[in-house]
Amino acid sequence: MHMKYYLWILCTYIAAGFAGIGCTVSNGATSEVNNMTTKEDRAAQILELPAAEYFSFDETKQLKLQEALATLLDGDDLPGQARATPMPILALGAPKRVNLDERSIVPLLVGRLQSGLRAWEVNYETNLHLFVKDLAIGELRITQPLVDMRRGQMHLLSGAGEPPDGLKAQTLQSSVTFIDLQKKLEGGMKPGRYWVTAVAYELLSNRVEIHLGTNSEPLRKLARRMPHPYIKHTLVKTVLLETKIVIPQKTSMGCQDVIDVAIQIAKEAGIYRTESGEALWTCNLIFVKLDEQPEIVPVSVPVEKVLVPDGRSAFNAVFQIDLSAIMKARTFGKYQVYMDIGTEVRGPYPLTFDAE
Amino acid sequence: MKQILRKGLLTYEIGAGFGGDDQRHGLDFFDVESAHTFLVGFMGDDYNLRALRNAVSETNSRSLFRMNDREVIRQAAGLICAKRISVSAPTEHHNFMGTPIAKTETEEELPIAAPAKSVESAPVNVVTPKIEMEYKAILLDPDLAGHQDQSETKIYADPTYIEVSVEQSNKAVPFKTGGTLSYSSANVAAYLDRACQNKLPVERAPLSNAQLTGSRKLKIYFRGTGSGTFDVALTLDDPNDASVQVEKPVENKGKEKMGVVKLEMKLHQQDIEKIEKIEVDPDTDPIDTYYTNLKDTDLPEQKEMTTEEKIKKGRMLHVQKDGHFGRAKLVCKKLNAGQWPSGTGDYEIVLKTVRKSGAIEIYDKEWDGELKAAPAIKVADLKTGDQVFWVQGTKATTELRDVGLYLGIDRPEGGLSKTVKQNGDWANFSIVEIQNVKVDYTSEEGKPVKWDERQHQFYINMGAAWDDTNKKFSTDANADVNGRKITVGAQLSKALKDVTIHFMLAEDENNRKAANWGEDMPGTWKWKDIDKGLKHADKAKRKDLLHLSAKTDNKGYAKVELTLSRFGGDVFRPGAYIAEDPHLAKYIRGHAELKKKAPVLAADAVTVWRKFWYQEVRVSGINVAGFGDAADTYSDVKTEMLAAPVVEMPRNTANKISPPVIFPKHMVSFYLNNARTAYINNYPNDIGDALVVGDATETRFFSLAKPAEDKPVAIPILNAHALWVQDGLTSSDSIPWFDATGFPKQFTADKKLLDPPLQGGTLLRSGRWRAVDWDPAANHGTGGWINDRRGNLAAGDISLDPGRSSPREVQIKKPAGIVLAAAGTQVTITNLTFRAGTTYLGTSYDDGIVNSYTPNDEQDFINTINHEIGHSFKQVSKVYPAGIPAHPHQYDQDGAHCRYTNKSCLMYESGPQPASLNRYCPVCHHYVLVQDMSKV
Repeated sequence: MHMKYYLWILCTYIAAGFAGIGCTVSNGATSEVNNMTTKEDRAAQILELPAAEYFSFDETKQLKLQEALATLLDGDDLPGQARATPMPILALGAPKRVNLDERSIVPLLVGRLQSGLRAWEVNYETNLHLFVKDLAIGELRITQPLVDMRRGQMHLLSGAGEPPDGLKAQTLQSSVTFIDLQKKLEGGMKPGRYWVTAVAYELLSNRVEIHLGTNSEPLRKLARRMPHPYIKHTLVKTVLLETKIVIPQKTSMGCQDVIDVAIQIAKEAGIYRTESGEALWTCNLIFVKLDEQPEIVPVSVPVEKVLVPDGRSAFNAVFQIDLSAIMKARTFGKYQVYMDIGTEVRGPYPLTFDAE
Repeated sequence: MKQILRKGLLTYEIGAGFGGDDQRHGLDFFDVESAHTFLVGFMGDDYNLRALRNAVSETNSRSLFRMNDREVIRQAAGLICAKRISVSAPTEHHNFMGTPIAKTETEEELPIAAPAKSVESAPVNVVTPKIEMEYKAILLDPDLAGHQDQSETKIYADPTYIEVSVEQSNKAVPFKTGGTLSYSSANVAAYLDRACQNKLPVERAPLSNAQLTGSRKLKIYFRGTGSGTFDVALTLDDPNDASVQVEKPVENKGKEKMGVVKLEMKLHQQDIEKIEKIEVDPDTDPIDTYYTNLKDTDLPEQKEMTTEEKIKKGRMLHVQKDGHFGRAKLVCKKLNAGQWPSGTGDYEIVLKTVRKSGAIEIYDKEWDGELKAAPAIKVADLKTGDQVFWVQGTKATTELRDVGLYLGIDRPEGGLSKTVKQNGDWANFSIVEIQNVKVDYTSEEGKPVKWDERQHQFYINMGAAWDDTNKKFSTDANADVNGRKITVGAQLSKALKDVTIHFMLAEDENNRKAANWGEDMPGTWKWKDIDKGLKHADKAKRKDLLHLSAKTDNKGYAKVELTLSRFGGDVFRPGAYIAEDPHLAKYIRGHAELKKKAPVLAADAVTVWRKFWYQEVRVSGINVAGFGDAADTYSDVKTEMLAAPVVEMPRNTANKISPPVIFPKHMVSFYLNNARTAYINNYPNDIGDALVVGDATETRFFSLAKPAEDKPVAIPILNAHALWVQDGLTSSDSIPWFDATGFPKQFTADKKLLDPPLQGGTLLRSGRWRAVDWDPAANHGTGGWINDRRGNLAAGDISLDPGRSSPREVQIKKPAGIVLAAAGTQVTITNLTFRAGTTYLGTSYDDGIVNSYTPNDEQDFINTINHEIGHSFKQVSKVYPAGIPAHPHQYDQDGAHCRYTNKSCLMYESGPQPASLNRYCPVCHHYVLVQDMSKV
């Protein structure tokens, strides 16, 4: 299986033109791979480059990657053949390690495949958000990479006005955008391990891990938070806990709805002990609304340590979040809720928040 | 008729012509000289003959006698009764004439002597020594002259004089020898002159007959040298004549008890040493706590001045006005009763001023109280305890120590003529008056003007240092503090040197309030936590009570450098007070209590203000837009926005810039409709010239703007028709099959397009077409696509329609390689990619600001100008001075903006915003107020 996987990558690169020769991707070759990986995976693989390539990214490379991405959806069809509106794809690529003593930038490639209709439905420029988790301190930061913070015109609203006609709606857009995370992320990035995930409203990308190294990495500790009052937890000693994240699809002002969470996590997810020895875990809920800035709701909760069958330690987090408490400060409308569980981002969980 | 009245051993002759028995006509023939003789005899030796003489001679009127002394004369002349009458010496003739009889203190019935027809006596002249005193008390010299300057006339306690004489009962047998005056050398030194130059021998002074019997009585002046009572006695020498009998000095006849008295006047001054140690922390939260602490802080009692201080230095006072200024404490010390001889109980201790200039007043209390116009304390009273007075200045002295205040003795009238005895103790005073307090500022040609006296605004951001070598302002880290330095001067009404004056910047009561700041200071800002470096500084240490001080020069002028706060809109009132008025250091404007005692305040307040210049850069012949009312926004945040001379780039120069800066108007300027669903072209089909400036070209313009020494904070600004920057590539798009008759094809890219693109090259980066023709005969007549062909789009296939409504629209014309088939040709385009651009409303570059003019929304254009200027001044700042909380609405990626409610702040990232306040939001407002604007 591994051999086939590498064959696919090789073909993808050839298709993207890195070999410098024309290489037609046969339907058969892709279908073989398709059986093994999703298009999203393949998009992510396209954006996986040798580390040096990220730092010498230019217009030519961009164009080739865009073409490579386009092949994931663009069939070699003829007029009149039925062409389904493609599902959008969001993918990330980044070097696994960046030596901050040698590099001043932290490159990230954001690939996107979408139709013209999707472009109208969700303004990519304003709705692309990067969730960046600093594992050293457990901090989650969000940035809006395509919005330059110079004073500009307002942006087109998502899904407003007349939808595009058939041709425009079916036009396939393939883009790869280069982002310098160091510049885009408020406060920059300190040495350490980061996980980065992209979200475009309901669209979630793969997660990339970047290790920012220096010759002298300062020791940083997890940020400590007190348990939040809007959380009720239960300490459960179940050895194998089935993961459950239940978020109501609809809630309203003053309702009694809760978010129900049961999850077993590793220490790496951000477990820390209080002075009294209590194990606490901080995760985050992220509320994403169209054309608006996402909002992070931190969730700190006591957890129970258990030993799983393979002998490793794990922690059970079982809790309920009072949804009315955390929606109090939000505006009505449709949300996509994501949950940063320390090691990954789960979601989206659609949630409609109404007055009644 | 001559009558002799015998009374004891004395014989008095009643002058001829006196009425005698004949009372009916005696008055008309009354002879003055006879009357003298008579009355002296009649009234005995207690009477003051000299006073009588003086009275008569001064009156020079017989009628006065007639009118007033009828009864006296009648009784005397008729010898109806003879009385020994002791009267007080009248001070004025009418008293003498009108009151002696009535005021008789003691009357002693004497035997009525029968009228004598002849005189028979042996011896014939009885001589009685006589001492008369100006005062029974003599001032002890306070020994202060040693503290006086060499050049000054030395001041000593006034001497007291006595008169010594003899009384002879019969001058026809004159007393011919002299006498000796004895006194205590431990107490006094005796002189023959008032100036005390002609000193008599100690203890005993021989006096000649002439001195004792001359027509003018001998005056001896005593100067006190040691306190205490002593006797002074006049002993007459043996007359060596049997006809002359000399009486021994006894009490009240040639022997008197006198006293050398010590007067003490303790003058007090402020205890500066202690006051300088007082600390009150002004950095409290709320600040009212500071005011309360200040109010409750007691100043130390005034401390006693040394004798040297009260003479050499003198006590300084400020001319009193409205009760603001302090008084000096003055204590008249309790008298030592043992030093005072009997008969002095009704003497008075007086406080008198001697002044060359200026004036003082004496009160009974430190504040308010009762004015004591001529303070006098009965000796008897002062023997019982200290008496406290308070001295205030009422008129400035022209020289230091021009007012003297002394403690002296006075007594009721009567007896010898007297003057108030001065300088029992004394002190000097200097009265100053701070005439005005002002900002001391003179503008210099070619330098920035920091102080606008007319508007009372001090521009605190003019502190950058000019580097004359490089003709630019240096990036001086101290520019902020230097800019906030303000010199305040105070002028005394008189040119008095070395007067210590303290200077304050009295905060206006509305600082930190909307009235001065435009918005109340946010509740989240804790005054105690805010960096002290941002606050005004008028003390050496913030907790000091006293303010910074300086001494006056020889023109009576002093000045000191203070530091204004960095809060735009803060108002201060410069004030000044002298060191002896430390209570004025507690002055707080607007405080119910602490406002009551105010220093001398400048007529005009000083308002903390900032200013900057914008230097417009233009291209000759291209007019974009002006700056409208942009300056108003900066007035709101206490900043003046001024125009510097315009800089122009010649059109020819602009034409040669690459990438180009001149585009057709129709291509460059768009805006979103209100629903934000579509773009609208500001200049559709307008082929006029538009100025387009962005990242790649801005330096070409801003390099024309040169720093000017008189404008330390200047921002080059260019208003363009549009601000475009390159934006990489568009997405690579695939357009599904469409009928080839659909060319030219309108296509909307995912980014904005400008032709030629700013990154160089052609607008089209890549694009392939594929065309197929319909052949109805193919596939055995069922039809099919044939002639499948492909090609690349050419740059010339792409254009921007002058009438396009969206900046993303591009027009694709039919590629030359596509020939339409009769039955129909379908085309698909893949990998369609353009070199893209993007636009901004404005950008604040390091060297200047580019604003994009938006004719669709003039107000938003002004907002853009102000927004970018805001960026130039580090808004919305992520870095705050210590103690200033983080901006709650600031957010950041490449830049920092404000997310105030409804995106209404000027510093929101995009515009126009329907709810825009068109100014800094109430939150940003404060951050702009506190921003260091000494550099951009």
